[in-house]
Amino acid sequence: MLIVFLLILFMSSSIGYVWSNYEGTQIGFDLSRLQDDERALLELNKKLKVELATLKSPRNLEAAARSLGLKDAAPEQIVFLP
Amino acid sequence: MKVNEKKWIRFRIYIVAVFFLFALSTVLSRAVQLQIIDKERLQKMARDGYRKVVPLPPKRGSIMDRDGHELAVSLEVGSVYAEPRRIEDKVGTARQLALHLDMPAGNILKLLKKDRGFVYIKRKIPSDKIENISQLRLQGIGFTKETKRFFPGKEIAGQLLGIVGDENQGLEGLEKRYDDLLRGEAQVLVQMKDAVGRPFLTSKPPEEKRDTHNLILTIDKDTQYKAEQALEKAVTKAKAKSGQCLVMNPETGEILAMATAQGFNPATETIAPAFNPNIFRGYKPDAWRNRVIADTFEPGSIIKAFLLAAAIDAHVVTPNTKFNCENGEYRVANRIIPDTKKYGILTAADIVVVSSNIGAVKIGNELGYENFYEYMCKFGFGQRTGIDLIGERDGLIKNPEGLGPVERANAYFGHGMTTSSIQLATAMAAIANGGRLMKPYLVKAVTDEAGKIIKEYHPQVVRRVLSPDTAKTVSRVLEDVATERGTARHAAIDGYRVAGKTSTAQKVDPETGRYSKRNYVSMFTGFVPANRPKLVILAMIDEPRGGYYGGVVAAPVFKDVGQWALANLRVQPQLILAENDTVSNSKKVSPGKKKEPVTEFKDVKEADAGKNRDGDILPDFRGLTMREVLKNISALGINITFEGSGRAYEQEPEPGVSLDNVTSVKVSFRPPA
Repeated sequence: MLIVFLLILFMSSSIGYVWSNYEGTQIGFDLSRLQDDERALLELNKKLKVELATLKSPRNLEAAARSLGLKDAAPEQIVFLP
Repeated sequence: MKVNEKKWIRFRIYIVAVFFLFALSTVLSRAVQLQIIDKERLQKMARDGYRKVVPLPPKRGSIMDRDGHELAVSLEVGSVYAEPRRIEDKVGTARQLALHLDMPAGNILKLLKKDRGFVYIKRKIPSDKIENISQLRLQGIGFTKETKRFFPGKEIAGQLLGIVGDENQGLEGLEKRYDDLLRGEAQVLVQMKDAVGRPFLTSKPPEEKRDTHNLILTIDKDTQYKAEQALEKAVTKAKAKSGQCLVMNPETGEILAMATAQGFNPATETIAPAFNPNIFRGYKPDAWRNRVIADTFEPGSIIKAFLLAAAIDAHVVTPNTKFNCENGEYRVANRIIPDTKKYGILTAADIVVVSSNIGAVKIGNELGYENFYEYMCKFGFGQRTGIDLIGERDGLIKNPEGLGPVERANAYFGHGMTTSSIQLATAMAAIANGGRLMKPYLVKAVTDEAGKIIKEYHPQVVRRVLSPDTAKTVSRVLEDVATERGTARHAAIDGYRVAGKTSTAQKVDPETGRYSKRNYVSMFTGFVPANRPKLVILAMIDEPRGGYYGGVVAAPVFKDVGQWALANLRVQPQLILAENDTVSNSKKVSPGKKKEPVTEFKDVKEADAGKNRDGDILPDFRGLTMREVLKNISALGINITFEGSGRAYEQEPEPGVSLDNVTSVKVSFRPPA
């Protein structure tokens, strides 16, 4: 009985060890992929910020506003809110 | 046992011993070879088997305007390189690359035929092109990651931001000045890989030897754009060589805009035909030089403002001290000092307002050159302002020792000395802010990569130049320059009190060494609102053609930029509109009064309270907000009734009537059109 118990214990320990090793490796793969994704997303975020800054640059905004028929406000048309 | 047999056994033992000795030596030799001689090579082989090194491109911090809008940002891009010795089909490779790289196949082939181990084909191209080329799987063609500088605003602040070289190094402007903070170094990531090359563990990025930082500037990108636009318009209209515009906060010394015409886009994609250190992406050094700090010129009449300030501060003259301006001609030693118009008796204030050279010489004589020199040095002329840029020039003001009367006289109206635009604007800021010379600066804060502020820069007072009273008095004189009486009526901004001084200075012809009759520097430098200055604006047009007076050529730039920037800063229009109206109304009431060319000095509060200089009359409230009307009416001590909301458009009684007959006023408001 004791031998059977020890055998099962040994087997389950071995399987547990292999399983944890396997999981560790898989997590390593995932971690590596996620780190790559993170770097790519950070770079994409930076590119989008530049794109946004380009679109919001005064030159582009002015061109867009003028194409819509907007004009510079005359001083008397500007209302300063408190 | 026989002797021979014993010998035979011993011999066999020796044989076995030698065999084992040899075997052991072989094993040891092999161990030495593997563990010592070939150690490095074998370790590398092993590492390559389970480790993958991913190179990361060097970083560079961003440069942002005062509100955090990006002005210069580095992004990852790819570069294509070749290892020519590994390429067999060079013609075919060149042809395929040419399809994706927008380069002639012949040029690529030339590169591939070079007898080198490594050669760049094209650097810093978009990642989609890299992707397309990598799918071709060309032998001997590889890719690296690099960073490229992007400027979302294109030409905005081009000269100020400067240039970044291909190796991520700052070469000009702020990029060079703050290269230590902005530049990062190349990094590598080390990954473990499995049998099929998949990465499964990545090391932390190594500690950088050099951290990258971001810069937050004092520049406001919108004001900068407006300054560049107004300057470009004026330079084009005047067919001028170039121009400069500087916008500064006089209280702090913060630079809000620093523009130079013509524009320069540091990110322009232009392929130079051959390497030339004097050409950067198609631009010559003239285009990327920041003239605001690097060019000096004779300032001309603007010096009269500082001369008057010095003379008043030294208690030598008052604004009302009268001088004989000799009807347009005044002899100093062997030289005639001319005026553009014939003036008789003028007050010291009017000498500045109408810009009389003779009057300036007379004020200067009262002050004395030694005192003048001392004050000019206190204003910062002849020395660098210390702005955080590389390449600032000192300018020149002549030492009193051994200086003749003509040279002294010339200096009193800004000739025979040189200044830069930044010096002039800083000195004008000292008059605007009550007499303190501020150190101009461009970087407000430094942040780390995460955006956390790690260093802030604060305003620095260099020294006190004038007493607050002198500064206030000179400001009032300079207000008259931007009126019909003065030389810069084109600088006037509706709704705001403007103070400043024009300048139209002849340039020295480098060929003849004499003053050119064709080339001028036209300028207007002033501040607004005059009583509570928020902005000092310098507008300079270099070598205008046709009209060349500063009040005509440069003053409109001041007006355009000032009008826009005041609205941007939400500076409320002042009562001067109503004040002007009441002045004109009062003239209608009393047409017999004739305007004298004399500047009168009244307390600012008095003018702000809406009281006319000729007597107490009801101001014009039209165009004002309810808050402004209330503020002004409270000073008059009469009752008021409001109707509607928005801006005042009608009042009962009419403006201009004597306050003696008014007990209450009804003001009607409506929303602005």
